[in-house]
Amino acid sequence: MPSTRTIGLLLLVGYALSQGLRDVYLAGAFGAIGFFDLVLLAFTSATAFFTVCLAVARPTDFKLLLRHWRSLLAVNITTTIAWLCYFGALNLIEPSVVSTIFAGVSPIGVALFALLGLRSADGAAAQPAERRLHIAILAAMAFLA
Amino acid sequence: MVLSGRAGTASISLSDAVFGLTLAACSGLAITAETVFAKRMNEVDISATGVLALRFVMIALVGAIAVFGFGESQMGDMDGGEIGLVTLKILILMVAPLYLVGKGLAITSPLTTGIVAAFGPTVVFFMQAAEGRVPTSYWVLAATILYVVLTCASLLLRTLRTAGKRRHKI
Repeated sequence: MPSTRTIGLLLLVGYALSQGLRDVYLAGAFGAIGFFDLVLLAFTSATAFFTVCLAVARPTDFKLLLRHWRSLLAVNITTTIAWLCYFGALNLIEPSVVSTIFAGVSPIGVALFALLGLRSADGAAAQPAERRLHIAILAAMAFLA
Repeated sequence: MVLSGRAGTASISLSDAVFGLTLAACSGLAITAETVFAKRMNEVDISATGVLALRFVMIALVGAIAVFGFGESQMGDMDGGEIGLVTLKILILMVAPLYLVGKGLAITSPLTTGIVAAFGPTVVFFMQAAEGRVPTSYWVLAATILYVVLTCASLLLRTLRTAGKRRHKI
């Protein structure tokens, strides 16, 4: 019987592989299916799937979600911008570049949003050594661009 | 690399390359903000599945308005079976990463999650090379490897700092 740690690691490896498959498939599908067809199919089906999961596993969360509608709206707006831009980028440039830039701007985004007062409770500020590495990541993104 | 034509998609115009890169960066920034809002929702005891269930409602509506309201569809030539098959493929490809990372996050350390996730772009590179639609660019591979190394170093530093803080508290 594999340990919890091994199962967790396998799940994460599965995540990385499935994410790669998704990006490569979507980038190829834009020629055959319309941009908004993909948006509609992808997110309607994902909403239906996770809504059923929630209704079965934790139906009380629906009430909580409605109570925190402002956060839910913010999540919806940022998700919409993120995925429309992601699909748009996949439509234009190669998936590995999109995936690297998408992930690479994250540390800078965290610092930028923290300056604007947008951070979670566990979002501690980066130390100088980490900041230097974040700048190096940004430089790597510039090299890629 | 992309702007100088050394990436796999060398044949695209400069304006498309600039636009594509801008969209990718905007996407990363927006998902960073989304993560903060989602964490705030987790802090008030809303489960990850709860957030996932309703976070795509607006984008699904945008898709529906574009397809049904403005006729932005290319599925007119497809029959029901083809549309069903495409929907199933997209459903699996959209849901699988979200589901697996949710489950994986729950039972592994943030360091492990971060390190495995850092390899994501390299995995995409090899999958796209295996698919063969986009020519392979070793410059892009070098950039993704550089990203992995720097991200892992940053994650290790953060983990060491957090562990140090915990020891001080004890």
